[in-house]
Formats: sequence, structure tokens, C-alpha cells
Amino acid sequence: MNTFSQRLLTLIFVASLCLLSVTNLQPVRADNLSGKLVVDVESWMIDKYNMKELAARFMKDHPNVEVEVITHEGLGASYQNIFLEWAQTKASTADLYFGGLISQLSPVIIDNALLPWDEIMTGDLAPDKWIKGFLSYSEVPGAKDGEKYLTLPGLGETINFQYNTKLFESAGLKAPTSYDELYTAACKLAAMKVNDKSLLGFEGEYNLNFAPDTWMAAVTAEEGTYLTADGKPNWDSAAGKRWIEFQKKIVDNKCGGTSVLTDNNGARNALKAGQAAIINASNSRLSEGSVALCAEKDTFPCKSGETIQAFDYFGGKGTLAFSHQIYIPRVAKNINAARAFAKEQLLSSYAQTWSAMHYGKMPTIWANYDALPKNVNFDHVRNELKGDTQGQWVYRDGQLLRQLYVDNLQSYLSGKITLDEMISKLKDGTDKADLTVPKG
Amino acid sequence: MGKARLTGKISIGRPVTGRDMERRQTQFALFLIIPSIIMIGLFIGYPLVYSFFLTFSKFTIQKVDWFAAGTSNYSLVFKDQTFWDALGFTLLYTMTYVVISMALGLLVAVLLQQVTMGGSIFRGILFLPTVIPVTMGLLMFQWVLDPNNGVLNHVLLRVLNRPDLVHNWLTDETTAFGTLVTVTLWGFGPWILLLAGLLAIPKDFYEAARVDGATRFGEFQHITLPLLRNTVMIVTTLQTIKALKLFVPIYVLTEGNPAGSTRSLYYLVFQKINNGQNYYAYATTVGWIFAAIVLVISILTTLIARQTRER
Repeated sequence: MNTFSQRLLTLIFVASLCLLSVTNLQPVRADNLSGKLVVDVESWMIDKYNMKELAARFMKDHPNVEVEVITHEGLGASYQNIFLEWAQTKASTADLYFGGLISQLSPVIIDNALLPWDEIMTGDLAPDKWIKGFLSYSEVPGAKDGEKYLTLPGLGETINFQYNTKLFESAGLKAPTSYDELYTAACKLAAMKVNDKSLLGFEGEYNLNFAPDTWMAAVTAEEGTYLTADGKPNWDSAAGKRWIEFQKKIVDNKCGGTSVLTDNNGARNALKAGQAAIINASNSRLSEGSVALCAEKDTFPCKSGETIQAFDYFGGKGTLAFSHQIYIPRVAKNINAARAFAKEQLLSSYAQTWSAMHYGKMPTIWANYDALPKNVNFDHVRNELKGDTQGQWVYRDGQLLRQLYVDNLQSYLSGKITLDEMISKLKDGTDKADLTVPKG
Repeated sequence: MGKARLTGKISIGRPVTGRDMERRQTQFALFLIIPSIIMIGLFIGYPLVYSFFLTFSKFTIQKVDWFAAGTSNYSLVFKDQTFWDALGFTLLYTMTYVVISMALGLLVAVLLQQVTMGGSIFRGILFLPTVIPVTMGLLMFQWVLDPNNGVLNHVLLRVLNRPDLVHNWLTDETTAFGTLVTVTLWGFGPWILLLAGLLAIPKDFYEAARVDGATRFGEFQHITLPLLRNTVMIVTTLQTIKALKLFVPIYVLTEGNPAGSTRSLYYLVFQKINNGQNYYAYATTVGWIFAAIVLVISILTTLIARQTRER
């Protein structure tokens, strides 16, 4: 081969290589995120918030980040383990946490163990873009600018009654508007049989999951707040006593079941099975129950209508709203990636609308709420959130007070103590508790 | 040939005695168990001592004020009615469980000993509760005992037509305790260990007794029981400790409810941890009081067992 041919071949070869390289080039991302990101969520969120999908989406957008999703239980003991790890080892297994109510997180909020989110709350995440009923729960009262939000609400819920519209229809009943109507409906339904099985009229919440929240909701609805002027639970409230006595009447006259005493999910499961006519818990049961009882599977909303719908606590002066929080401990390693994951995935329209449609866990940002399909239950919760709302108590000893309420409520329901004794024990226990709250 | 002449010095050690051998063997044995001692010291001994000192201290997640509490943690616990209720439940459950489980275990073991045909089949069936994971078995019972849809109430209502016997087994205070005891006995007690003890009794004794005209009950009374005494004492101690440590059935089935009526001391410790760092000291102190109770009961049963052996 002569020199000219050699040079020509070399030129063609090099040009081919260059052409191949150019066609294989991908757009260069300005991505300073890298390393491992560990996201720790409450175990139920793996399914109900589609965490694996969110992790996959994030890794696709940020190829240099490896996301590992781990879980912890939603019980107090798990949170104590997490808090101990942060304090004792000055390190954290996870960079980002999702799950936990302010009442569970108040100790670490008070102890300033969390990083503030304020600097990312601009544009679509500016405070006015959030649902006030949820964001206000996360705001630290009196905190200076830049440190107002040590947690962000990731998914939200309200407390109301959920009832089976078809059972109500067959009994000739309408949604109750007073305790008397509710009692009458519960007892009438409890006397009915469906498919030769007895119905549960009103399956109340008498355990740690929601019992204290139903008290807070009942008092808030009638009196606007469940707190006294000095910030303590208003155990003497007439509305609260009415609510407690109502539950006793239901139990004593067998107009409802008590499975929740030993199974926190007893009422929800009975509702989804079509056996409980009325329950009272978080609004997510509306979607869960409707999806379970819809004749047309895998459709949302249910084409034949939502079987499970809501009515509010009586009084109309406010709704109890709470949310599960997103937070980063100060001792986390990959803070940038954690913030990015929260912003891009946990608070995305995809994640929040997906969770709402499949499991009734409500968005915490109005834009994501507005993206939901039209649905009677979503509209009901929207109206609740547009009105006055109050969050759960956030004392350092908040969990103790919840246990105190449950123990005394169960003693009262079983006839061991009177209502006056119950109120006295609650007041006594509250006086001994640490009522420190997060504040700036 | 002449005698060989030894040249050079020969060093002859003193003769090795039996005591030397024993000392060397002891040293070697100690050397072998040093790793275990270190592990036990690190993972059991150190936490034990640490937590014991904590019961006299004030502590939160952030810091420990050593010995700042004095005995106030203990006073707090002893003044709390919840503690006494949990202690009462734990002791009552232990007494009930141990007595019934030993009787049931002994009955099953004796029956299995007597069976000549199909014994292995019966043993296999009776062994099933042991191989099923504890939590799985308890969840199964949760379904069986469900007041609305459970098999038990369905049988009572529909098959036996006894609506008067239908109960909220786990949520009714009158039945919760008995139901819990029954569920924890579904393995028929410690029949495996008792059967092993029974099978170790030489058959010659029974043959000799039969030759002398002893009845079955007489054989049981004068041969089986005396020769099984040591096994029974050891198994009773184990069952007692097991009952005192009751936690998983409560966690799965009742959560200490209704109204704390099925709350054991172990479960109380767990609940107090749930209440937050202000109650770590309380929970640690309850844990140590409980450990002391278990120790006392273990020592008592061991002493009784030793006296029985000597007799």
C-alpha cells in the first residue's frame, strides 16, 4: 500500500471513530449529586407511597446517586432508637427520613437535631403554595426566618367519620348530623344482617392509633380548639365528655364493635370488608374502603360511585388535620441528595397524587391536590382543609399523654372507672407530664 | 562390651505430678474460654452493669447525670399503680401457666409413652406447634378468635347453636386472661422434655412392679413420679422463667389491652420506652426490678430442686 493510501485509510478510521463517539454522546447534566443516599421511611410507606418507584426515578435522573430505601416501624420505640443513634453516635444510618408525626418528632425538634428546609421553600414550594392545615403543623412557632420549618409535611390526613353509603341506603338512613342521629343509625345498622352476617354499627377507635385524635377532633369541631388558654388538653371540655360518653353508650348497647382494642387496624379492616357501617379515623379510609368495595376493580374513581364517604364531627368549628413529616438530621451525610430527593420525588405531583388515588394519603401542596381526579371524597377533604384546622398536640411527652388517654378510656369503657375519675386521672397525668413544645 | 560412659550434663526435671497435670489442663481450658468471657463481658456484662448504674441516674438521649437520681427512680416505679398491676398480672399468669403447662405436658408425655402403635405419627402432630414460628401461630389465633369472623365464634354460634358462649375473647376483660393462657398453651406444654425424662426411666422397674401386682396408677405414683422428679424440677424452672418473660403474645394479640389488663412487666418496659426519653429511667428501673424478681424465683426453684434431689 502506498503512503497516500495509508494516510487516507488512517483519516477514514479516525473520522469513523469520531463519528461513533459523537452519536453516542448523551447530554451532559449539571449534576453535583453523587454517592449513596439512604432514605428511611415507615414500613407502610414502601407500598402506600410507592417508594421503590420514586427511588428508581431519582436514580434515573441522577445516575451518580445510589438510593437505598430502608424502613422503620411507626411505633415510638423505633423512633427512640433513631434519636438515640443520632445523639450517641453523632451519625445517622439514613440521610433522609419520611414518616412520623410532629407529636413523635417533637423531642428532636425541641433539641434542634434537624436541618431547616426554609431555603428550598421558594417558587413551587413557597409557603403559600402549601395546604395551610398541613404546613402550619410543621411550622415551629416563634422561630426566626430560615428556621421555621425543621420538617415538611409529606402526606396529610384529616380525621372524620367514614360510612358505608350502600348500607345506609338499605337501612333508609342519611348521614348523621348529631350524636343522637349517629347513635340511632349505629344501633339500627348493628341489628341488621347482610349475607347472614351481623353488621358492626359503629366500630370506634379505642386504641393508640386514633383514639386521642378522635377526642381532639370532636372537641375541635364543637369548640374550635381542644386546648385550654395555657396550652394544655382541655379535659374538662363539655364536647370532650360528650364524645367519651357517646362511645360508652355505643359499647354498652352493643351498637358497635371493639376489635380495635387489640387490633389497631380492626375498624379499617371491617370497613373494607363491608362489615362495619361507620368508623372514625383518618380520611385515607375513604379511598381504601371505596377501592376495596368498588365493583369495578382497578378504576379510580370508582365508576359506580364511592361506596365509602365521609361526614364530619358535629359542630363545624374546625377539623383535626395532621401529616407525616419529611426531615433530615443534622448528622446526615448526603444532605444535598436528601434535599433533592425530597423536592423532586416525595413532594412531586406524581408521588402525592399516586398515593392519594391508591391509598387516600392526601397531597400537602395545593397544586398536587388540584391535579387529582374529581372525587366526592377528595372534595370533602378539600372543604375541610379550606376551613379551620388544628394539629395534634406536640408536647415532649405527647406519646405518654396518648397512652394515658387510651388506658383511661379503655378503663372507662369497661366500667372500671367513672367519667369523672377518668377526667381526674387525665388531668393528674397531664400535670405530671413534660408539656414542652417546639418553639423558636 | 563395657558400659557406656555418660559425658556432659543431663538436666532432669522434677517428675510431673497429677496436680501439675490438673493445673496445666485448667490453664489450657481457661485459655480456650477467654474469647467467650470477653464476648460475654462486652455484650452482656458491660450493658448489665451500665444499665444498673443508670437506674440511679438521670439520663436523656443527650447525656447522663450519673447517680444524680439516687433511689428516686425506684420510688417512682414503686409508687406507680401501673407497675403493680403489671407485676400482679405477670405473677398470676406465671402461676397459672406453669401449673397448667406442667400438668398438660406430663399428661401428653405419659400418653405418648404408653402408645405402642402410631406413636411417631402422634409425636409428629404434637410437634407441629414447635416448628411453626411463634408470631405466625399467634396471628393465626388472632383470626380464630376474631369476634366477628373468627372460627371459634362461628362454631359456637352456627354449629353448636350456643350464642351464649360467643365472646369478644381478647377484648373482653372477663375472657382476655384465660384466652391468653390458652393460646400460649397450644404447644401442649413441655411434653418433649418430660417425654425424654420418661423414656430415660428403665423399663425393668415397671416390669418388676407389674410382677409385684402394681396397678398403672401405682406405677405412675411410685415409679414414674419419683424418678421424673429432677426433670420436673428443671422443666418447672424453665417454664417459670419463660412465663415471667411473656411479651410476644401480648404484643401480637392484645397490646396489653383491654385497659392494661393483659400488660406484663416486660410489655410495660416496652411501652415506657415508647413514651419517650423522659421514661427511659423508669423503663430501665422496671427492667432491673423484674430481673431481681426472676433471680429470686430462679434461686428458690433451684434450691427446692436441690433439696428434692438430695431426698
